Amino acid sequence: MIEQVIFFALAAVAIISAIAVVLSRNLFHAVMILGGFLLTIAGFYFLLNADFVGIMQVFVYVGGVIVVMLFGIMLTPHEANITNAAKLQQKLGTYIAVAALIGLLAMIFIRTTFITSPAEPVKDTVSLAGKLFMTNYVLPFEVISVLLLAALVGAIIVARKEEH
Amino acid sequence: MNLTINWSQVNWLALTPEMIILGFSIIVLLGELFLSKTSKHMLGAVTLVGLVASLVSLGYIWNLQATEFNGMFSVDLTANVLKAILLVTTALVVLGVLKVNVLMGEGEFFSLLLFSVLGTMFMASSADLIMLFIALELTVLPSYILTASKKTRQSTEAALKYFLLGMISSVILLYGMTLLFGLTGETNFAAIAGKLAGHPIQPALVASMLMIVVGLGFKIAAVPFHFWAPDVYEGSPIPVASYLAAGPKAGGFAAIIHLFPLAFGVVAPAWAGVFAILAVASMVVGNLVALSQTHVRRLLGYSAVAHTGYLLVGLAVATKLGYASLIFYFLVYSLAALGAFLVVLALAERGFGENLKDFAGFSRRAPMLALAMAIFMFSLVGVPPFAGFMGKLYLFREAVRSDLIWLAIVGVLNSVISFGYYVTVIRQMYLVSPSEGEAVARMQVSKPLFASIMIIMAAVIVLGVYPNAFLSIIKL
Repeated sequence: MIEQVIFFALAAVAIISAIAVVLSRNLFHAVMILGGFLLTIAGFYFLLNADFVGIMQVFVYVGGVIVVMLFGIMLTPHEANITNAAKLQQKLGTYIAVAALIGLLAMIFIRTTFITSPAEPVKDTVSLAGKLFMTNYVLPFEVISVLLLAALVGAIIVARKEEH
Repeated sequence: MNLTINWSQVNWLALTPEMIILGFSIIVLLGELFLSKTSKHMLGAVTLVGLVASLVSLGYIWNLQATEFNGMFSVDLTANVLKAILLVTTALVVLGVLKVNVLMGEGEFFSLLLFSVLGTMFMASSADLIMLFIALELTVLPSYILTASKKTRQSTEAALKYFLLGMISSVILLYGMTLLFGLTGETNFAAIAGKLAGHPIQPALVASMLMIVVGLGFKIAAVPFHFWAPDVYEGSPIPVASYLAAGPKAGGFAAIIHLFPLAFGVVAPAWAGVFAILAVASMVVGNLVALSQTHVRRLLGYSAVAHTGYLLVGLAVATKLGYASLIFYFLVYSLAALGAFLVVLALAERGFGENLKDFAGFSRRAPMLALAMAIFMFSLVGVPPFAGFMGKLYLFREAVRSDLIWLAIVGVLNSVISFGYYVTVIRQMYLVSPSEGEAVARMQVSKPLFASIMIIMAAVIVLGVYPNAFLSIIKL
């Protein structure tokens, strides 16, 4: 019962903040609200007993991504308030498309029975996640390290000034 | 839950081609750091050695069938053939650009190229949704960076479009995968199929399948998810564009060929129909838009979209022979497209433009290259005796066999339409003389680039005259 109350409260905050991010005309405000949205996602993870993933969500997204985005906004010239150039027709089209998609997905999900894991909740998710990384998922885990290396090289190339 | 892995039981032989590529990519990256400016040109040759070594090791395990790392990684003939095609085409790109300015550090260029190749190889071998997604990201991330490497306005715009659309498609793909996990509780392809078998088809399964189609449709540039392709082929540096014409696309098709028949076997009629619709849309839109293009690389971009349509016929058929025809046509197409890009590169290296009119008098400037370009164009149309004809013949024959005669007819009609723009290139090269007062001098081409184009030309002819050379290797 209490879990359901927390879930719906989190869901309401998540949906409202997500809409606010999209509708916000101020880039700085949008990023701050996005930070709040990402925190509610971390809340979902805690609710699901995935404390390690929840903490990582806070560290990486709220602590890392949002801060980098704020730096990006502060260090680049931009207009504080973006005036929406979209025409009424475009806006209307977008709203209808989004509403249709949400309606369709809602209809599908209501008729679907998702399976639930029969496993007991785990107390120590950190060590379990660590063991999984080093056994079942060792290959994807190692491939991610190559992906990160490629991303590092790429970041240097993109950020570097033209030599000539 | 099984939480152990017996390292002594892992068949490392199955991973040798990937290990070799990984090793060489690191060597090349370190070479960029430690070699002097004058000796960095060696890195291209090192890359070529790595690709060939990987190809040799692949030949060594050609008939191996193995599933390693708790079902993450599986090797079979289909995966090996796709990897071989990828390695050969990439080796031809590297050979072609050996003496060409790649517009960035050689080490960075070649190591990113190898990272992308590595990702595509893992994609061809992944048997698990998690592995597939990570391999996919490893394939496309270096492609975004390589596209952005020129730092002109056009290159940056192309890279940004590629990146944004690629990211959105990855997210949609991930959403589809999550739904699939929610329905089955499994990420392994075979386990998913096991859980889905014998149950009524749920609407969420169809939704998940459609999302995965959209996500992977972006990667192979199928209409209506093709918007990035012409911009990227036109805006990126030419060596990069020639790699993109073959490499990442191979990954997308590898993923589809593995995932759909295996995991979505129970809903085969549904996805076969979806691929048939995408095939028709890609063929028609790609060919019709290509007709009005004047920039050769943009033309090749739309031609790539159209060819995604032909290739999707093999998936719409949804039989083993259909997939085999798809793989054969993929080899044929990527060779011809790659060759065409390398010819454009040869022209650009001598300061010529990339518009159709810049091809005027090309047959007198460089007779052999013009001949090669003409053969590539004929092969892309599907004119016998070149490889494109055999490839289309196999694909459309499978369509007819599976009672998709209308699809075969659409394919043939589209090939006729495509003749319209491919022949314009040939006409420019052979029949139009360059503008007055311009001296028609023989064009110099760097030897490796020339060699690469000639090898591709020979392959296109041999595969057209004697396709069994390849078909007996893939055991069709």
